[in-house]
Amino acid sequence: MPDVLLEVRNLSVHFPTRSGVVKAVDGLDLTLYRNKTMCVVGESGSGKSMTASAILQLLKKPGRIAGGEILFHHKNGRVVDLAKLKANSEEMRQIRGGHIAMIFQEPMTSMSPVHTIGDQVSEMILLHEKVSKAEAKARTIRLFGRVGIPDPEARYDIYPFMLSGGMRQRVMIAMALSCNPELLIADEPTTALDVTMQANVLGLMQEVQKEFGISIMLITHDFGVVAEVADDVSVMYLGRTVEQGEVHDIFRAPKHPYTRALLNSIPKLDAIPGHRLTQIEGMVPSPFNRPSGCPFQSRCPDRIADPCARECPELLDAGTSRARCYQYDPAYAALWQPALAEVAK
Amino acid sequence: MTAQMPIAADPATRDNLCLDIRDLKVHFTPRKRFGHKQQNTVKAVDGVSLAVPDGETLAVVGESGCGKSTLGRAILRVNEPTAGEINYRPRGGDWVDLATLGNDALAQYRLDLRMIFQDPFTSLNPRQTVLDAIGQPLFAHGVNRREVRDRVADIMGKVGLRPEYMSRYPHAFSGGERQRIVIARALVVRPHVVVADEAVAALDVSVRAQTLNLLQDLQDELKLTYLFISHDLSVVRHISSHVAVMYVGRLIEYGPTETVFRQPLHPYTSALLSAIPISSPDLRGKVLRQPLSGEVADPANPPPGCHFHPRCPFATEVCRTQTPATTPVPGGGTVACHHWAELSLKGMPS
Repeated sequence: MPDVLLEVRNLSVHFPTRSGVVKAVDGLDLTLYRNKTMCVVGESGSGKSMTASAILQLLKKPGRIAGGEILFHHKNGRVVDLAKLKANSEEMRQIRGGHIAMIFQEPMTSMSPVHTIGDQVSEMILLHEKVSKAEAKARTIRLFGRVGIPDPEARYDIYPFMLSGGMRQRVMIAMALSCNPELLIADEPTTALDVTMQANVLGLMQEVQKEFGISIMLITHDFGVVAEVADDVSVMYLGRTVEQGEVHDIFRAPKHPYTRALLNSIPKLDAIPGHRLTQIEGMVPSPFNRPSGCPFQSRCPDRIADPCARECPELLDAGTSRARCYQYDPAYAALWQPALAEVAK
Repeated sequence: MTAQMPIAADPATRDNLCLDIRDLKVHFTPRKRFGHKQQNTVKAVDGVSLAVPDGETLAVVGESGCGKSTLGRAILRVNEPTAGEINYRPRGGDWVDLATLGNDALAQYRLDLRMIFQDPFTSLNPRQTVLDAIGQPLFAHGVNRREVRDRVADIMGKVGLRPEYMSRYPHAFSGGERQRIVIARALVVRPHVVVADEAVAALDVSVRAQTLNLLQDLQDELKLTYLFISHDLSVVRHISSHVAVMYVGRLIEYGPTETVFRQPLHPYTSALLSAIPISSPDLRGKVLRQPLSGEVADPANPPPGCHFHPRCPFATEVCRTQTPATTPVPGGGTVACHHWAELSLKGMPS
């Protein structure tokens, strides 16, 4: 049994608004293991970024954790439920940055424009550890060198606007690594970058993962990135995990109809150019107007009104992965038999 | 100057083209400010010659800052070209150079060349109804309101929007639907050439597939020619028949998409192709990466010679001093590299 680092159980994040409660995350389960990369995939509005914010207690008002547990396993075996901690408590502040670090999509908006990049990284070290300023500076320069910033000593004193997007993302990675975290949450870290820079940044993240022995939770909408770096994949749709499993299994044999449809809708480089892409009918439903039962049933090609529109199952064992679909519930599986026989023909 | 060779110099081969761009330059000169040093001219597009086949899709690719959007905008005269020719042949008409036309003469071609923008959230006026947004070009050309309604309803049906929604405002639509509105606005005047600048980049995966299918259906139905500007090479491979690769304002490789993807001739093209994320985890470690060091050169201060030489693993002395000429290659493409004939570069696995 691999070593568990973080367990999210039945997490719900609610946003009370004037026109009703938006359930951004609705009964989410997620397990992260030490030294592994978990990719969370989903379209916009699926709640993947909300999950990351909830884990770090960084939800913007009026959002709040409405239920569930976020269990963080310390190295010494102690388990803390982050959902129970106050956002501004000492313990949460130690975990944020110290044990769990985060990288955001657009590094320009997540860095201070009026402080030098070196000071921003040293500040982080000084906040979390009892070291002298000179030592923090030396460590920052070493980190800059490690993440591939050329001439780190000279770059210590420059401002974020003087760097390109790829370099800024490297600074963010250096900042995230500065306190030797156990978990790195990266929210679409390469979406704003060119393909060439994306390949470099992903490569760097994999290197530092091995070197520092950290787990990565990578939030993305790009299956290419998933294929590149993931160990485990969790597919989200409207605030729920619909499928979770090992990356090879998910790509080889996706079990949930949504995962299957997503994988079929990307243009593949090895397919015949110009072939028609399989499209998912309709749009992601508005969070105010969620379909009853399974959230995907309104767009699902395999839908059977009863049970799909009535209820949504838990993550069920679907052979190689776990999927939230009644097709894998022994009590209902027989309903899909005729359709499957048709396909086999 | 080592003149960039026009691609379709032979009039006989111009028959199947609708755009024939020759040595196009778009330079931006920052205004001199008192007490400041005059800043360098940004050569966003610097001598690009390009042939666009009629009724097909030409993709323009490159990293950000390489001038692909400026090229697209210059063809529509949104950005004024500094020099060069934009030869356009309207349906059933004769060749005309759009670069030199005055505003009045240009007006009649404005309906033939249209644009689809990247971000459907910023390219629609929130205070305009869908009817006004899509019908704008028709109103501007004096079509009466009743006919505008009919044509808007017609085009909305074609792009998969319900015509009943034409009196709604953009906020009532999702991202994918807004992009359909933007597409409908471009197509309502029955254009000939559509410049799609990152038209699917801002869309979710499932909606992107819908939009790409829609663009292909509309191309077949309305006999459109697309100039498809994109940084996403898997989308480019999917949709385009020809591809043009740009680097810091210059065209460095051009050719049929399959040929370029299978057998790139320019080291930059090859490096771009190798950076595409793999499509399956089974391929991990089997694809050889050619990481590109450094960054895209500053177009205000590009390196001398071949702009790519500081990042090129094959660069020699001649690359540092001389601009490579655009050379026609077997298979109908062109390449601008001193060493293309000696290199044997890796493309996509077939």
